[in-house]
Amino acid sequence: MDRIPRDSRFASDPVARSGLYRLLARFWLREVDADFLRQLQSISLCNEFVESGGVLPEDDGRLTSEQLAIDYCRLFIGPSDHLPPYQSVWQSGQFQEAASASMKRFVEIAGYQAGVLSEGMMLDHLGVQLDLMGQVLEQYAGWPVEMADREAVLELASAFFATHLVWPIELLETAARRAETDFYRSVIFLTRNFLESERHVLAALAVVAD
Amino acid sequence: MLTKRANRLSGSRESRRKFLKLGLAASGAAAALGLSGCGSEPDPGPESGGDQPPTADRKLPQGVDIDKWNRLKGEPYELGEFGAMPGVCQLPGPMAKRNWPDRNKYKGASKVPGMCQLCSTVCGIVGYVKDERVIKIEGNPNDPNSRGHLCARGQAGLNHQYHPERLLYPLKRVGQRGEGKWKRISWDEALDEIAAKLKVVRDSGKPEEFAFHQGRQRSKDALKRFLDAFGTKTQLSHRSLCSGNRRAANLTYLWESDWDLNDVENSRYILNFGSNAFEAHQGHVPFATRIQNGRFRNKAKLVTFDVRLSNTAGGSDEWFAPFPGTDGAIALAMCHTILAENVHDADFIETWTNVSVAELKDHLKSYTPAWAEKVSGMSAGDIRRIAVEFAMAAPACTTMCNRGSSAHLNGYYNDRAIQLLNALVGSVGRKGGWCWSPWGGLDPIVETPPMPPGAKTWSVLEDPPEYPLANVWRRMRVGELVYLYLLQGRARLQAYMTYNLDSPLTWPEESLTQQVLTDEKLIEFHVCINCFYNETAHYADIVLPWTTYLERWDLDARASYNLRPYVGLRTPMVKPLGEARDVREFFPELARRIGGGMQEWYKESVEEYMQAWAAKVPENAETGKQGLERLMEEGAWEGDREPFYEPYNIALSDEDLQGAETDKATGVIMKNGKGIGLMQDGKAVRGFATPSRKFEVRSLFVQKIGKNEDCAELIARSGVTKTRSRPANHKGHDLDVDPMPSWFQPREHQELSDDELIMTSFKWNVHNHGRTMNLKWLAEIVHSNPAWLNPETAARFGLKDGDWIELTSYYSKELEQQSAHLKRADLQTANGRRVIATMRVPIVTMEGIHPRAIAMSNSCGHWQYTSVAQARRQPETTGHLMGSDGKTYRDPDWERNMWWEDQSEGDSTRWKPNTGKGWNQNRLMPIAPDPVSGQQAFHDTVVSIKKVG
Repeated sequence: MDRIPRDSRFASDPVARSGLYRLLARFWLREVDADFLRQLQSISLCNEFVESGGVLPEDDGRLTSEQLAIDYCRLFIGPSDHLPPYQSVWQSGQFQEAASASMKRFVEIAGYQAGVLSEGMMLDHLGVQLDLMGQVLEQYAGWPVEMADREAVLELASAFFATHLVWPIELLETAARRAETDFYRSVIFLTRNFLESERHVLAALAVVAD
Repeated sequence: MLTKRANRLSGSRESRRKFLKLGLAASGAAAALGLSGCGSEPDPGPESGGDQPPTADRKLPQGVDIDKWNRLKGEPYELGEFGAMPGVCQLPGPMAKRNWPDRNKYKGASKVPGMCQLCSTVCGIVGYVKDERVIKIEGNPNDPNSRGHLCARGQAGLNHQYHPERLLYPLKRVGQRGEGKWKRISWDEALDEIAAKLKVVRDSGKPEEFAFHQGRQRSKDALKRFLDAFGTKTQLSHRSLCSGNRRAANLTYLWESDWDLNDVENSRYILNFGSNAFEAHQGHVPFATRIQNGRFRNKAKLVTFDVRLSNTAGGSDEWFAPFPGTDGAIALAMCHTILAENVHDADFIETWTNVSVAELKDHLKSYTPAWAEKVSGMSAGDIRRIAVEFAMAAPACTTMCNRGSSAHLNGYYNDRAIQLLNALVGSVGRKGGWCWSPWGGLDPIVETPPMPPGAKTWSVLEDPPEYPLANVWRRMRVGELVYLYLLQGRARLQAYMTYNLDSPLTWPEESLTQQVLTDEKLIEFHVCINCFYNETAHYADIVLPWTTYLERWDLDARASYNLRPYVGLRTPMVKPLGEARDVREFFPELARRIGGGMQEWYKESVEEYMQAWAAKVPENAETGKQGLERLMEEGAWEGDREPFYEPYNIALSDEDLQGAETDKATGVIMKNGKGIGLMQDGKAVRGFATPSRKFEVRSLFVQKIGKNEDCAELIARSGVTKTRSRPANHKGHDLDVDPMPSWFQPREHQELSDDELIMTSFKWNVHNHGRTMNLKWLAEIVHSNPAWLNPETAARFGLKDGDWIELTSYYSKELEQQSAHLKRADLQTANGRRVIATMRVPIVTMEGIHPRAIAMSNSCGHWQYTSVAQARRQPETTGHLMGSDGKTYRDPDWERNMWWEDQSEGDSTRWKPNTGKGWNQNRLMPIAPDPVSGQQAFHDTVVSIKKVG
C-alpha cells in the first residue's frame, strides 16, 4: 500500500479516463447489439474510437450484430474452450475465489452501483471491474472535497487498479489471438492497450513516490 | 495488420492522448450509449448544502466510504498464484503450506444444510459458507439415512459448483445442430421462444409430442406439476437403464414397494449377488456403512457373487466369480438345497407365501447345485455350504442385489430367484432380514400445494406395448428404446426437453443416439437444461443454465434404511452463479407465457411454496422451530414411527374392520371393494399388499399381464389401486411370463464360442455414470478405463498388460428371437451376426475377473463436458481455433496435478497406461431390453477381440 502513487498526474483527466473505463465496461459486460453499434457509428465517438485502434463493422445490420454476438459468445461465454473473463478463473482456475471476496470489499467501499448490464453478475468479471473503476474516477472528478479525501479516493482507485485490473493482460492477449471479428479483436486490443497505458503511468508514479 | 497497429498504439504518449480523447467523447455520450454510472454531476444529497463537502459521515454521496477505505486499506489482498485464498480448495501439492489444512479458513463461516445430488443417494450435507461462497461440504449428522457420512463425490461438490466451465447464460444454437456454434440470449428471449413452440404443440391437440427426458432428478413435484399442467404424460427417464428388473421382481412379490431395504445393520449373514454397494449402489453410503456395522457389530458374514472383483467383493468374507448372468441359477440351487437340507422356515412358507413347501420342492427339484455348477462354474459344494450357512443365520439374514444381477436379459428372473431365498428362510420383513418400506421418499406428512390432475395422454416412447411389466405398478418405462423408436418412426417429437441428461454417453448405441439427436426431422426442437455443456447439450437448440444442487430448493428423501420415512431439505446455500436458474424458478414463467390455464398452478413464490410444502414438519421442542424454519436449521427431520418390521403381522383395528367382509375361500378381507388384510388363525391382520395378501411366490398377475388379460379383480384384492391392467394399446404383444421364480440362459451365452467374451460394466467409488468426470478431484483418481482381462484369457489371445485390442460387439441372439420389433436394417453383419460397433482399447490383466468376461467401467470417454472430463490440460486448439495457441486461464492446482494427459496423439504404441480420458463403453452396447420389464441388459453383450498391431 505504501507504493500507491500520490502524484497528481495519475489524477489527471479523470473524466476522460472514467469515460473510457465505462465504455470498455459496456463492451465487456454484454455483446454489442444492433442499437449500440448504430450509436457507436453515428455519433462523434466514431472517429475517436477508430483513432484509438477500434474497428467498426461496415454493416450495422442484423447480420453483423449476430456475427459479433457469436464471436463474443465463443470467446467469453462458451459453452466450451472459451476464456471466462473472471479474475478468479484466471488466478485460481475456478469461480468465486479470493478475487470475488476482494471485489466484494471494494464494491462496498466504493459504493459501486451496478447498472442494468452488471446487475447480478459475479463481481470479478472484467466488465464489472472496469465499470467500478469508471465510477470511482467519475466520483473523484465530480466532487470538490477537501484534499485529504481526494487523495484517499485516488489511493482507492490506484489500489483497485493494482489488485483487479492488472490480471486481464493474459486474458486479453489470448483472446485477441482467438477473436474472429476485427471488431472484437480491436476492442480487446483497445482494452489491453489502455490498461497497459494505465499500468505504465502507475508504475512510473510509483517510482516517483519511492 | 490490425495487431501491428494495435501494438504500436500501446504505451505511447500519442496513444494515451487518443485514449483520453476517446474517453472524453464516451463520457459526453454516456447517456446515448447507455453506459452505467451515476452521471458526471455530483448529487449533493439532501443534507448537504451545495458545494460543502459531506463531512458528517465522510462518505461521498455516490458511495465511496472514505472512513472504511482508510480503515481497511492497510490489509493486504493476497491474490494470485498460490496466495492465501479464502475458500480455495486446492489439493495439497509440493507447494502447499505445511499447516494445511488451514483451520482459520472456517472461522466465521456459516453452516447451511442441504442435500447432495452427485449421485442418487441424496445424502444430507452441510455447506460451510463464507464470503457468499461454499468453502467446504461435509455430511449432515442430522440426516437419518446417511448419518453424517459423505463420499468423495459429495466432497467434490465444490468442483461442481465453481467449475470455470459452468454454463452461466442461456444459449441459442446458430449453426447446424451439433456444430457447436452458439450465441447468448436473454432468459426472456429463451422463454418466449420455448413457450411459443410449446404452445403450438399444446394447441395441436397432441401434447404427448412434447417429451420431457430426465436424467437424475430430485424435483419430482416441480416436473410433474409442469408436465401435468401442460397435459403431456411423455416423461421419459433412465429407470430401465438402472433398476427396472430389481423393482419388477420386488413388486411381483410385494406390490407395495419396488425397493428392498436389506436390514444389513442387524444381519448376521449377507448374500450379495453382484451389487457393488461399497462404491455405487443407489443406497451407497447409508447402505455401505450399515453393512460394515453389521459385520463389525454382529459378526455378519458377507458373501459376494460377482464376475468382477469389485471393491465390495474385495471387502467381503468370500467372493465367487460365477459365469455372467447366472446369479439366478445359483440362487435357485440354494433354494433347492435349503429345502433339501430341511433348513427352511416351513411356518413362514405355509403361512405367509401363496405356495406350499411341497409345491416349492416340486418346482425346484431340477435346480440342483450340480446343475448350477454346470451353468455358473461355482462348485456345487460351495453352493450347498453357503445355502445352509445362510439359512442357519435366519431370520437375521438377507440377500442384496442390484444391477449386477438385474441388468441382464434374464435379470427379472435372476432377481426373483434371489429374493425367493429370503422367503424360504423366513427373513422377509424380519429384523436383520430382507425388508422394505412403503415410504419410497418423503414422509407423507408433508404435502405439496395442490397439484394439477394427471395428464391422460399416451406415447409409445413412455409406454411401449411390448414390455408387460414396464409400467403396471410403477412407471419404469423403457428408456433405452426412445431413440430407436423415433428412428423407426413410431413416434414424433415436436418438442423435446432434456434435463440433467447425458444420453449420448450413458445410453446404449452411442452412434444411434447421436444420429437421432442430430436429426431435426425426428426431434424438431430440443431444449437442454443442464449445469454444464455436455454431450446432450451439444445437440440442443436452446441450452438453459441450470442451478447446482447447492443453489436450489427441494424437499427430498430416499427410501431410508431406518425403515421409516423422513424429510430432508435442499437449500440454496449461495446465490446461483451467472444467470443459472432452477426449474422451480422458470417453469412458472414458462407456464404463464404458454397460458391456457397452465399459469393457474403457479400461485406462490418458490419460498412460499416451500413453506407450504414443509408446513407440517412438527415443532422441535428445544428450539421452538417447525416447518421450513426447522428444516433450514437442522436439514432433515425423521418422525418417531416404528421401523417397518413384519408389517404382515400388524393387526387390523376395529375401525379398519368396520364394513369389511372376508372371503371364506381365501381369507382375504375386503372393504369398499379393496383388499385390506387377511384372516390368519382367526386374527385379522394386514398381510402383504398383494392379491393373495401373501408374499406372492406364484404370481398369477404377471402371467395374466403378460397375456394382456384383465387383472382388475387381482388389483382390487391387493388394495394397491395405482396398479393398472394394461390398456387396449398393448393388445397383440403377448408374452409368456413365468408365474414362478425360474431361470433361463440367453442363447448367445449358451453358444459362446472360444473367441468370444461377455462384456460387463461397472462404476467406481468416485464417479457416477455421466456427471462427475468434470470434477478434477475425482478425475485425478479415476479418468481412464482400460478393459479388464483375466491373465488366462489374455494368454489365450497372446495379450499382455498394456496391449491394445479391437473389440467388436454383437446384437443379442436371444432378442433376435424374442423381440422382432427391435430389428434394424442398417446394422452390418459379421459371421452371420449383426455388429453394433468396434472400438480399440488397451487392456489390463488381473485375476479379479471371470475368464469369459471382459469389463470396462462407465463414466469415461467424454467428448464434451469440460476440458477436465476430456483430460485436456489446455482447451481444444483445433477447428475454428486452429492456429491459435493453447494458452488459457490458470489453475495452479490443475497445472500442478494434471499428470494424466494422453500425449500419444492417437498412436496406441505411444500410449502410456493410466493416461487419457478413457473410452465410452456404450459405443459397443446394443439396445437390449429384458423382454419382461424392459431393463437394459448392460452385462450380456457378446464381444470378440483381436490384438491390435
